[in-house]
Amino acid sequence: MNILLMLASGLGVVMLLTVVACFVFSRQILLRWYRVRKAPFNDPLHMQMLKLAIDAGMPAVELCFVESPVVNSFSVGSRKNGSIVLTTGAIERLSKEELSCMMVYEIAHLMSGRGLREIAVVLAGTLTVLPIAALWGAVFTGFGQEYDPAPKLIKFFVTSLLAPPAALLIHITSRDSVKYESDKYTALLCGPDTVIGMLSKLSDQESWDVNPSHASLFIANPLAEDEIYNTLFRTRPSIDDRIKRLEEVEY
Amino acid sequence: MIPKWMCALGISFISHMSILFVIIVVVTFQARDFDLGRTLVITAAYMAFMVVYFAVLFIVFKRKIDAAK
Repeated sequence: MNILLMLASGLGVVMLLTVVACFVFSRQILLRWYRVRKAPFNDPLHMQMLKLAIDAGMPAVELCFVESPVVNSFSVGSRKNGSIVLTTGAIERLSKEELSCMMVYEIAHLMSGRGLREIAVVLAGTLTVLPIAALWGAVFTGFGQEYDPAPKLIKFFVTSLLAPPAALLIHITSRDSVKYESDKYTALLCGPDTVIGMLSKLSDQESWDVNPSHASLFIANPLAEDEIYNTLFRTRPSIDDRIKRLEEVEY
Repeated sequence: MIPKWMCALGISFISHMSILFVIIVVVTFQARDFDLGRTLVITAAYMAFMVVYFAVLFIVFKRKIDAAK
């Protein structure tokens, strides 16, 4: 009984420390997770982003890049200390106006405040990493033979246990209003046609195999919809719905 | 047609039931005896928790995922 009590209290302390670490370092954890690199200060995109951020009253925002052929972006941090991350695919495939649109969208997201969203994303992200740890654990403990379905089955089993609480954490901390508000703000500043053009480019592309718990951070859902557990992490309306709403609003 | 997220929840429910099976096996081996009363109490307590847990999941996902379509 004493051992059980010690185990439970140890687990409690670890969980508490994890929550505190997520609260303090969530931004740094997420930036390191995607191995982002900071944009050089004299980069034209960085200058453009700074101008937009200063106009929005947020001079301390930094611009980062992440290596990915997919057109997508996300932002982490708060108004006082935020980071906007663009994929290299976005830089290659979007026009200057559309990139500006994407940055305005992320600035609008940062303006809406960090709230509990980022902390929940890191915590849930830790949960959704465990199935991969289970897969490799299985591979290195005797299930690694060729054509052995066990590691994948073990991964699926652990996913089935951990994906629902992770998704619950994401859903209860995400705010419905932010989804359309950022689109509207961007359309007001950049014009609805440019935003619609940018959103169209986000819809016709391959999926990006990111941690499912992080999907809510991105401007467009990067996950493949055919994976059954990815559907639990859908927090954003479809691109078509967002475009339709933008077309309905008068500017 | 059942939405994919509901299928995911169904599979999760089955996975949690397999955990119940493991708990019963461990308790039975530890006591070196199968006690139907004890097993029923464990099952009832576990199932009650699971029903509440999955009801919360279902309500939240129905509101949020269906709204995000």
